[in-house]
Amino acid sequence: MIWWVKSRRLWSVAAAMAVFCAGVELVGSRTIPLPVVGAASAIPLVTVLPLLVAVALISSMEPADKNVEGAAARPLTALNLAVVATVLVVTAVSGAVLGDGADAELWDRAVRNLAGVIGYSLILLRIFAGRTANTLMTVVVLLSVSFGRTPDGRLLPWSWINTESGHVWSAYLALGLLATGVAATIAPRRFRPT
Amino acid sequence: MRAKTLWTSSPSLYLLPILALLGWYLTTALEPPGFDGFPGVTSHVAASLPFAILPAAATAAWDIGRLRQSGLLRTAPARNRLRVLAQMTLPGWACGLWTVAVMLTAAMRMADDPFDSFNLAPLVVSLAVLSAWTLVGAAAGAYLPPVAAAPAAAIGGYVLYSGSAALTDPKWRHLTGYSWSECCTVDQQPDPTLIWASLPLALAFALAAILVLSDLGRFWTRGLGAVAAVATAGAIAFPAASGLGYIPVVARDDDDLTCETSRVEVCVWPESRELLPLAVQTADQIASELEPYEVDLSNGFRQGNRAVPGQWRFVIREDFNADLMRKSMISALQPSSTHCDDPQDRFYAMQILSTAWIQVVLAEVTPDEAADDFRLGPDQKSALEDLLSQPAADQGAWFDSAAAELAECPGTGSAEERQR
Repeated sequence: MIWWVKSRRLWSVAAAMAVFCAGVELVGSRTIPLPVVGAASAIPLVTVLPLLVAVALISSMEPADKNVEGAAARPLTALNLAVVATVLVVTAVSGAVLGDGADAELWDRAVRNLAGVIGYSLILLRIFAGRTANTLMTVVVLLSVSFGRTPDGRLLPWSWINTESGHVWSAYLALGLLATGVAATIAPRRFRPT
Repeated sequence: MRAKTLWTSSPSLYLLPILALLGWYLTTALEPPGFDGFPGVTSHVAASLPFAILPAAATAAWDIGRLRQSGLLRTAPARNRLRVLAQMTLPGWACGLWTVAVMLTAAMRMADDPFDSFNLAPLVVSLAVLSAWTLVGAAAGAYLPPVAAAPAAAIGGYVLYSGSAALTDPKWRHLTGYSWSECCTVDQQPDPTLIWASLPLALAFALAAILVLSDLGRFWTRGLGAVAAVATAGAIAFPAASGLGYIPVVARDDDDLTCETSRVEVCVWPESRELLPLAVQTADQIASELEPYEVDLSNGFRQGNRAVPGQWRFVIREDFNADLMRKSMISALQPSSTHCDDPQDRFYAMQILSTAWIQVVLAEVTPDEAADDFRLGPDQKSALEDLLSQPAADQGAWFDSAAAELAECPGTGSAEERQR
């Protein structure tokens, strides 16, 4: 277990979570003028902040030694998913505690985006190695922020990350991504010793 | 390493066609074409610079990360470490450079005469910023775990460059080089001081990354050197950035103007030289219509995108015909009061009355229509009717005095700043 905790670099996930929660609370509503193809170019920081946690999470979930992990007696997949669940629960609890009034919508959006981005990450991590998954996930999120609008400012259907907190379909999509990501992580894989 | 191996083993080669399409699309889609000279072209490129920084920094981090993962950086070196790392950084840098080149080509194609106001400063700063982020990406690749290096470099470059503009203090946008993306209208040039605000930090970050990547001395001495480089650059850049306004520009050199005088002098910038005859013809027509009113047009008309107190500045667009040119010149004759300190709206009242008067006299608008268009109150409407009932020369004299008073009203900005 100690080996797992060390090899997962959980301190980096905890640090990313702390920065994420502080970021949402302190500057989440601030906008950054990312280059956007379309009418609006001011993107709230809460849209891109989940990247921090997702990058740290994937970095942590990348097996340190595939041979050792392949022969592990502990349920590593379950432990990995426990880290994911903890991250989401901590964010939701932080939102419930810190998000009052206008902040509540911000936190709703933060939790939804984090869930969706982690879902993306888990799906990519199933297909690619951690390094590729992380880079692709970052590029996908940044580009969906930048190219998520039509030139007249309308949000494109796949650009769920840009929508406001009350957007029902975006919430469903984020949950769908998370569920798919969890399913992809649980799905049995053939162990190939290296 | 052989050059062929260097390029084929890096993702940059496969990214080039994607980046070409992306760069072209961004330049043509981000904003409608409306370039004003070379600073406008390069500023348009600077606005899309994050899309060049992102692949450059991420690819550099990726390539150096591969080298780190191989363990080569920890083994006894056969070649100079910096040389090896510089070689490995080249493909990432080339990715960014290629994207900038594509964006620049697309922007130049959309501009009319980009070389008429040639100014390399925005491009130099953009390339320095790109190079700095590429090297920072390489440093991230050398020291961060490979799984986090490329995303960290991508997010860092992409978000921090643009993010500085979200801060209310304009100093930060000058320091990161973001301010270059908002330059310039046809009658402006980038403020030369801006280069001292943007370039030192970009160069310092590049130098700091090189120091961190090199094997000169111990790690902590290199780290200290990197901090010293950034601190020195900060000491140069901060004072320069602090003295600059939100969009740091200066008035373009009047010597560039092409002027022609018939009844009144009309001056245009070289980019619009082809429309000068039409502008002169329109100005003559307006001058003859204003002749009975004896309005003072001795300052002449001058092309410009911003109202400057005391000057009749008119806008020209490429697609202007006689009608649009006339409308533009009539607009130029409407004095502005936005620069005035005007707690009792006295100058604003003067401005809308003179604007309504110009519209009635030149734009074939009836006094009732003018009152509706400019939302004149009952008092202002009767003042307009009183004015219009006076002899023509008196009306013109009132307009001249109102324009002079608005030009010299107490308010924001020094006389020099108002000229920008």
